Amino acid sequence: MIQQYSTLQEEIQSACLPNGLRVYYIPKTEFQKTFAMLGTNFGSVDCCFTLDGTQHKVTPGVAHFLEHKMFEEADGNALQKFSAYGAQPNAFTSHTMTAYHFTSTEQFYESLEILLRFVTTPYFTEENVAKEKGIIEQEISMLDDTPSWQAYVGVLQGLYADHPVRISIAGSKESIAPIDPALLQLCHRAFYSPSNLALVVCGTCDFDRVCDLAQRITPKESARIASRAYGKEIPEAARAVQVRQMAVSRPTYMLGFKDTVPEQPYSRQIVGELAVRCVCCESAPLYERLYQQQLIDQSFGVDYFTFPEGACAFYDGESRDPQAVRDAILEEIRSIAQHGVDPALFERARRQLLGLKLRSADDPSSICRMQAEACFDGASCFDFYEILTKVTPEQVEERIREWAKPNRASLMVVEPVDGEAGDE
Amino acid sequence: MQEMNVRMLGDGVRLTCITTGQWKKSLLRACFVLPLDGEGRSMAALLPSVLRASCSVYPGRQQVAVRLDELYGARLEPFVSKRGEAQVIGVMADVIDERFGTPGMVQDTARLVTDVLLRPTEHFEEAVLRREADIWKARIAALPDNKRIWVIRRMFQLMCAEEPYRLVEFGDPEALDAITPEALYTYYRSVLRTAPLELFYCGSMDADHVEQIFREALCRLPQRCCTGYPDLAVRGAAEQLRWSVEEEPVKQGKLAIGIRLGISVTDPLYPAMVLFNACYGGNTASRLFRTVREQKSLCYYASSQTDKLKGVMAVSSGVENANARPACEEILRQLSLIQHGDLKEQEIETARRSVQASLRTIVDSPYSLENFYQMQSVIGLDSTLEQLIDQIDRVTAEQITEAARCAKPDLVYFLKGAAT
Repeated sequence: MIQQYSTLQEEIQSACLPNGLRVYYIPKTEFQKTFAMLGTNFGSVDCCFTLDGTQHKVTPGVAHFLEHKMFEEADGNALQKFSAYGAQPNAFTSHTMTAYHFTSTEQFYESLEILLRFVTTPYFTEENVAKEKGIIEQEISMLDDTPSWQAYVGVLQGLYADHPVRISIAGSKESIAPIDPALLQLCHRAFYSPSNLALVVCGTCDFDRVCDLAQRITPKESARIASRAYGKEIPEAARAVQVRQMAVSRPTYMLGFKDTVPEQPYSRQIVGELAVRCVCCESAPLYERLYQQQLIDQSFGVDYFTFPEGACAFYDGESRDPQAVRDAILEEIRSIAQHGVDPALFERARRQLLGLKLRSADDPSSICRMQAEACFDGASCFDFYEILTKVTPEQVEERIREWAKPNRASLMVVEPVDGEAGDE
Repeated sequence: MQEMNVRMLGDGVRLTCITTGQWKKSLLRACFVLPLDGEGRSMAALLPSVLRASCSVYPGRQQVAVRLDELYGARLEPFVSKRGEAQVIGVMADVIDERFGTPGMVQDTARLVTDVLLRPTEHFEEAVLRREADIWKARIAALPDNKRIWVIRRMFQLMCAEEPYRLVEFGDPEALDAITPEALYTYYRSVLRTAPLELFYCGSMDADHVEQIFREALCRLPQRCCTGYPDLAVRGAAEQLRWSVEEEPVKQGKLAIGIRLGISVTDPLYPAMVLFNACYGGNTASRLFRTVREQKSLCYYASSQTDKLKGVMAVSSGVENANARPACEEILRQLSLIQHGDLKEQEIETARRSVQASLRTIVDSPYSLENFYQMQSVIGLDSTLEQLIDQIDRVTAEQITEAARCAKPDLVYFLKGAAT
């Protein structure tokens, strides 16, 4: 099937193979590189699931551990195999997906074969699992020392009391300790079945050949995908404020607003991203006021995040007084909830977001990630254009009114260790 | 297809223009190249952000922000970067193509860039200057917050304690405090007269059109007497390997090893040095990744990077305190092995492919292209990406060993984790 996006001068070719694997191709033939991503709809939040009638609650960090371990094959490490073709492989685990990818400028199909094979062929031994713990423990230590990551993990813990989104993606040294080959095998069986995967290619390729290759390398049939549970949440944030101390020069913060569970996650994501900007983007009066008061600077950022059974808005940065930033943003949110959004600001924020999305649609790796995430949400990566063309101020106000309700906000502050603060 | 044009538009004013319909956006950059040890380093650091808030056409930060949003979220970022021993200051902008917005958008964004850079108000306001100076001071104070990047900067500060390379491109807190609006304005005028001005564009506009837009703006420049590009100073290592240890309340220790290569981008051995770095610690197929991480499980990352203008290399790794010595020994042992010609043909070919693939994909991203040509512009170098790819093709194993033998470890810095 070919879906045309004529205004954007883009197209997506797609197919669903007999084993349930979804394959997408976005042609970018003027580019030197071709990028391929094989993503599974399995992230760190999927730690409670039912498979073949048995309920499992797995230890936090297992999705990320599995990502590390998949590269290991019976005849060596897949990373090194890619290198022989000049391809650059990598992988990541988010709250909602695990993705394996490579960039190639030659011998694309050889690299694609490696990708398809290692992601669908588990090879776990007691020895290689034990060895990986040393590496992942060091990765966790590094994250423990990263202030912005701690602010992010902290705000999710402040917003959610029960949802597994509150647990750091890589887990902790303690939580990865019990991971063994049997557990990795279980998760692979539960979530790495072809019908839970999506292959996205952007660059130059022969789509039929990609489909043939995928058909040949991936398992003939899909196992039943595990059903998942995400706990019980109340609409309010679990905690209003949390503070912890780290080796930083000035406070780093993340402010979150808990939103309702979205029915259509993709369009909610776009509207949410627009709504956060209508409150405090760079051309908004609030931004200018806070900048003049030296409460925010170029480190200030906004975001919106949807995931299974949840959504929230974020404001983050560094500030001498994060609580004052929170108070000002909350006041603005309440004001917009009551009086509506300024139409001129709405239009500016809409154009700004459209420009941002279009700019990221210029890079094959960004496009592949956008498409993998979108397809797991039942959408396409270029749908943002239509949504942003039709979006109304009322849709944005609906979101902001939700954040304005009592006890939806949570603030996480990472502040300097006592006695180490700078001159502020 | 990309078409590249390089043109001189005045004394020390150079335009690099890449025309292609490959992207949905255009990128523009205008920057001045200054010596890092110049007396005005702190003023130079402050200038781009003060100019952004002092444009006579769009007075105040917010007016510029509103204008940018009208241009479909075009971005205009003041920037300050350290390139070898040069300080590069200027403004960078990107904007989506007119076919997705309104006609004239790219031209309007280019005008905005030159308006910000060349049409400030008649004097700078004290309040604006103080606010921006405070932001810079906070940013300087925050440099140690990101440990992974910080340890490399800190290591070079110690290793190059007698060289301009130690200096912070964002200025010094005391000097930032002492800047007056009058002094900054005088300094600004002198930069306009004397500093090399590098203009860069990539996007769908053709070179003639880009040149015309810039030429219109450049008539605002005073009479120029360009000082030329800053010198490149490449030095040798100390006699003995030095060690330096500092403590911070963090969980993970961080190791950074400073290595003098004595080979900069203008050296005939430079292409061999690029391959040496790739074989040693440049990617996941390299020695450091395969031994320190994969074989010994000592760390999550162990990699090498080079500064091609200064001719130095940094190897860095995040390790537990107890593993600092073994990791350091293995890193130095792998270097010694390579210096003795231990690289296998397959390792070299893998590195060659990987480096060439990385270089080829630079043309896929306007930001990577800008970065590549910004480096070139710092020393007035006009060789192209294709020439480098071609040179990499011809490097021999012997040349790689020769480049590796130039590498002299100079200082080991360990940031010891002291979190309770």
